[in-house]
Amino acid sequence: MSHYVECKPGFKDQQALIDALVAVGFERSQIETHEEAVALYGYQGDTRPQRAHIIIRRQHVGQAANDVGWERLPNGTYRAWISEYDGRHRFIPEVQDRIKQEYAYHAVSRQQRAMGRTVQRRELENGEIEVVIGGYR
Amino acid sequence: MRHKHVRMIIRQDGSCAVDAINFTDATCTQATQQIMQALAGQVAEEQLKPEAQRLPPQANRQMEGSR
Repeated sequence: MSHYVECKPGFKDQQALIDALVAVGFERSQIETHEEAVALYGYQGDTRPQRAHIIIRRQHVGQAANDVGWERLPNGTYRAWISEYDGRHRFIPEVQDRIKQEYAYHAVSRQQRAMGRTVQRRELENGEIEVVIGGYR
Repeated sequence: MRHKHVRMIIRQDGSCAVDAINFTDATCTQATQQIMQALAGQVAEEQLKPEAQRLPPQANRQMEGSR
């Protein structure tokens, strides 16, 4: 018997999201985390209306960039605040997809390892990631 | 790989296909549900399917002999 499921992940695990951002090239020291959401700033230092719990400040994003952040919503999931400008530069759709891909791996890997399972990762030639989880009794 | 395991493919757009393989009972559903919880995602498709029947060695020999 086997069970097959298809899904689109949402961001819920803060540490997995941080791990995903590190996997796409940011240093851990460049990623701020806050218990309470704090303001994001624009490229001219102007305060933006958006607030976030996980933030990469503009100086780490690129020239003329704005702060990029992820705000934790009441349901526990995170929504991204990425300006239109940054969506055409450092955070192009391919990078945003790569963050989702890395997030999915790290979220599942952290959960399953905590349950004592083995997790093996393999990069496939087509850009997909294969994850094999073992240790079921 | 004949023991129970879960194979997950994470596509380039972040969508995931999760397949619990070689489970002999309904724990396969639990295995995939745990992973769905970690992904906090919306299920787009779900299938419960019997695995392909594995014939015992004797049956295989008989099939080969009848060729």
